Order: sequence, then structure tokens, then C-alpha cells
Amino acid sequence: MKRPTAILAGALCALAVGWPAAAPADDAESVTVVYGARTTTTDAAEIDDDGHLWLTASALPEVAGLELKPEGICTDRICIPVKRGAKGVVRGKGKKARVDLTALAEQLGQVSVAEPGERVFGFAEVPQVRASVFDDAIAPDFALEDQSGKTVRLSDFRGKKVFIVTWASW
Amino acid sequence: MVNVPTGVWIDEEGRIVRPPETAYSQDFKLGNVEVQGAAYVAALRDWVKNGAESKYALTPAQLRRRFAPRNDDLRRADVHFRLGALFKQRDQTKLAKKHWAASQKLNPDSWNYHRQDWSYSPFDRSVKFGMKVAGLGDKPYYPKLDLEPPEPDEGTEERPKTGKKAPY
Repeated sequence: MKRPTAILAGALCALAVGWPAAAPADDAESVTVVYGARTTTTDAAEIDDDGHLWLTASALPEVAGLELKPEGICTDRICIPVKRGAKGVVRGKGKKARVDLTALAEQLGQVSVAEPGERVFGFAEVPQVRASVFDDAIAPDFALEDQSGKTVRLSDFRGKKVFIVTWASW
Repeated sequence: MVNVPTGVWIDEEGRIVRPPETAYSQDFKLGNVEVQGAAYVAALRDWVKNGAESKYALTPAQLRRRFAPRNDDLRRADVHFRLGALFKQRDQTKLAKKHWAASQKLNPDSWNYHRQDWSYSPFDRSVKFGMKVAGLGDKPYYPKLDLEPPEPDEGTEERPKTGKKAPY
């Protein structure tokens, strides 16, 4: 994949874990999901006739940093109850469970932007998660690739003071 | 984060102790671009040395007051920007332009959204950037650095020491 000549480093152009080295845009079965700072191309998603994006529950952690639990859809900070069943945000059980990310966004008041023709869906930060950061000021974990392609997480520096500086070649 | 360079401080327990701020290492002034780098570095050094006891390390309540409210326009701008970056990576320039234009309209104060878009053309990078800076008039390009210790918080909030830790 051709890289842009100018580079916006740091958190601004977050290359989340799973950003593919080659753009699979010609793979009709895969969907690319931009979820907060994560970008993932996955075969675990499908688009229904209403343009809603459905994702298998098992792919939620990688794609969205969320987890489906009995108490709801959870981050490492909060759990949000969701409707299950035929008209719910979650359908199916166990390994067959799927989550309607579009409907979930509506429930959460989460901004979403889609290019369904390109099989690309974008979701902003979950407002409730951002709000929870101000309770204790704990920085959300995130991952980026260093120049050698190695994944580096903020949590790797636990126990040390961290000074993050964003910059750009322009 | 709407411009570069921007710095954030995070302590050993994963807690943000200073919000995004302009992070230069030296002072300089050029037109309405002015930075106080020396003071910033001095504050940073103080925190490195003194940790939670540094007067520059903010409590969660003090930090909260430093963050501007974030509305749906700003959130939507962020998504559009990221989609623009994705399409640019895929050489889908028309789609990239579309989403970057949307991000710039929704958050016109973000220099990052504009400058990343302009960075692919020498003309855009210099002329358009120069025109937008000139359009600031008397407004500063970078917000003035506020390193003054905040007023004591209302109530009895103390700076967390070894309390709640990062969940990771």
C-alpha cells in the first residue's frame, strides 16, 4: 500500500492493531471499521438491507475494544445494558451472537459515518467512555506501530512517567 | 489535539496529569505564532523530579476544567478525518478529500485536519497554510501556555497517590 509522503505521527493518525499492510478494498466480503482510534478490516462483519453494520461478538474486542458480557456491552471501564433478541442490538447467543454496531451507536448517542458502497464504517468515541475518563483521569490505553512495525501500547510504559508528544513532518 | 507539537503528561499509574498543550523546547515568536518553550520544559523537568508533588501536576478535577467540551460536531469531525486518512492510504483521493473537507468544516479550529490535507501539495502546504494563519488576525496560532498553579479545588479532593490504577 502506498504511504503518504507526509506523515502525521502520534495519536492523530492512529495505526491501530490490525491495520492491514495491503488494502483489501477489492475483497467484497470484508468490511473496514474505524472505531475510535482503531481501524480494522474484518470478515466478521456484514451489512444488512438497512445499511446497519453487524459484527460477530467474538470480533468486538479487536474491532471496537468492546466485549459482550451478560451485563451488556463492556469496556474496561463501564458496561452498558443492551437489548437482546429479535429486535435488539444483540442477536443470537454464544458463538453465534452478533452485535448491530449501527443500532448500538444510536443507543449510545455515538456519532457514526458510513461509506457502505466502499464497505467502510466509521464510529466516533463512545461518549460514556470518554466521560468516564474524567472521573479518575486514567488515560485510555491505545496501540500504535513503531517505525519497525512493532506494536507499542501506552500500557507498556506502566510504572514510568510518560510524556507523549505529537508532531508532523509538515 | 488540534495542532502540533502537542504534549500530554501521564504518571506512573496511567493518570493524565497535564492536558494537551503546545510543547516546544524553546521560546520563539514570529508574527502571531508565539510559544513559551523554555517554561514548558522547566515545568516538565519539575514534574519528572517531583512527580505528584510538582505544582504543575493537575488533579482529575483540575484537569477536567482544562478540557473544552466535546460535542457531536467535533466527534463527527474526528471520524471524517480518520476516514479521510484511510481513503488516502488506499489512494482513493476523491473520497479522502470529501471526508477531510467535512472534518475541516465541522472543526475549523483544528490545524491538523487542514495541514494533513494540504501536506500533499507544495502550494497548499505553503500558500493555503499562510492564508489561514493570516486570517487569524490578532488571534494567536497557539493558545497561550497556562502553567500557573490552579486555585485549590473546592471540597477536599486530594491528588491521588497510589489509589486507583489503570485497568490495564
